[in-house]
Amino acid sequence: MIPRRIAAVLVGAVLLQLTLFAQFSYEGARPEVIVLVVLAVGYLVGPDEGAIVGFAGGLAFDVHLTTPLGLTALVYLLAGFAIGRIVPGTTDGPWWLTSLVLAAGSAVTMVVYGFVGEIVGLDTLHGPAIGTIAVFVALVNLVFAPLAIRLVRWTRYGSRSRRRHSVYA
Amino acid sequence: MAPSRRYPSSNRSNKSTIRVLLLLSALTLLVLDLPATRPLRPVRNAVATVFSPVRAAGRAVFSPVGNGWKGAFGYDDVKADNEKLRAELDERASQDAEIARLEKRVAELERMNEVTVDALRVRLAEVTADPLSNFDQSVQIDLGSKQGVKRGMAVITGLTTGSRGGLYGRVDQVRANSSTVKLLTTPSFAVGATVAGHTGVLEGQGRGADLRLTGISANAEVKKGAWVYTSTSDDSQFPKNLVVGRVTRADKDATDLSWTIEVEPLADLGGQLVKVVYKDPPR
Repeated sequence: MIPRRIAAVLVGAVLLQLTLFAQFSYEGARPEVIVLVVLAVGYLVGPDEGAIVGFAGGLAFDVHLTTPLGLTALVYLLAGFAIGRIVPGTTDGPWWLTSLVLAAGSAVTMVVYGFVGEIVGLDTLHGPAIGTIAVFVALVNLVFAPLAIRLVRWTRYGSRSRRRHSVYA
Repeated sequence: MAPSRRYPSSNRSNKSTIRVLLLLSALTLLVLDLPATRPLRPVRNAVATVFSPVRAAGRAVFSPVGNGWKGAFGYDDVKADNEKLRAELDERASQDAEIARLEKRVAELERMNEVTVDALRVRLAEVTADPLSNFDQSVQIDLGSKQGVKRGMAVITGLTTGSRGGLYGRVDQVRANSSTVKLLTTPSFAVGATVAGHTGVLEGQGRGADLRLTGISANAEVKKGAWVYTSTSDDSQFPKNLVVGRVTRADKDATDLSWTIEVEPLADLGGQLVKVVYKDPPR
């Protein structure tokens, strides 16, 4: 993975989350696209890379929230690692299958976030219904997953060498 | 040969070490910044201040998109609200004359009894950002320490310069030109409140849920629809007699010693204009 490129993708995701996606909500549920990048890295590159990107992305989001610093970093770190370690699949799979995996991973991450928040004494399950959040985030991330997949491929090899190391041959 | 699941990693053991270190870092930050202590608040405020111009620019660029979304998915609600507000406005207009008469009468009585009541200083603020994540029940407003805002100040709804309006929340984080407001529906939000002349503790129960008022003596005559105000105690965190909402349900607890009361907030928590009440909270 090329650090400059993944940093650029992550910063872009954080900025879009704080500006564009913060304006959308449905029944109180909001899109969370940083987790999509984290899961894409974990699934397509590897669990360790997913954990690192999850920590960085979560921390970058954390500083803008009122929830304790480190909570999002912890959950995203675990999400990035877990999807790379647990979910069986291949990097050569069809794009739509990868998209479905990332969407499902996003939903699971939201549920885990809610429960981890409650464990540390926050009231993360007293906001919008957790089911609504999980479904809404999964649907939004399903739409943006193909873009995230392409960006993660770009962070790995770049456009020139992608021909020789195609993820989806 | 079967396709590899993912790209090979050249230095797996080093990455595993990094992974463990990051996990410990996240846990350490979390423990350090739990709500009771929050020593990292200045760091967050500094970062948020640095990013605020970027966010403001982003909001300006993307707000038409957001407005389009709200128009597409919230048009019916807005229309219904508009009709309801028009009906309420007619009723309120007729009440204004009576309120003006009563205020004049109160002022006369205060002058006769040599009572001095400090007028609350309020300042209009705009809600610049709704909650940023699904698990964060706070909003951003465009007033900060440069405008004299301090942590713990009350925030109410309304447009006029007076203290009329429903309790909206409390200033939770203050930056140079913006602040974070914790909504009164947040479960960690608690404030002294009065109903029917008795004082108890009012707590949030989550977004969309009524507030819960406990500790009201069973002797109090609590009726559905009664108004609930902030506590009249001098030690109260908020200014006295700010309107909180109306009683929607009241049940005596198992011991029959006190009431457990559900309160519907008066404030429109989706509104874009609020007022910060400039009264220092007690230390």
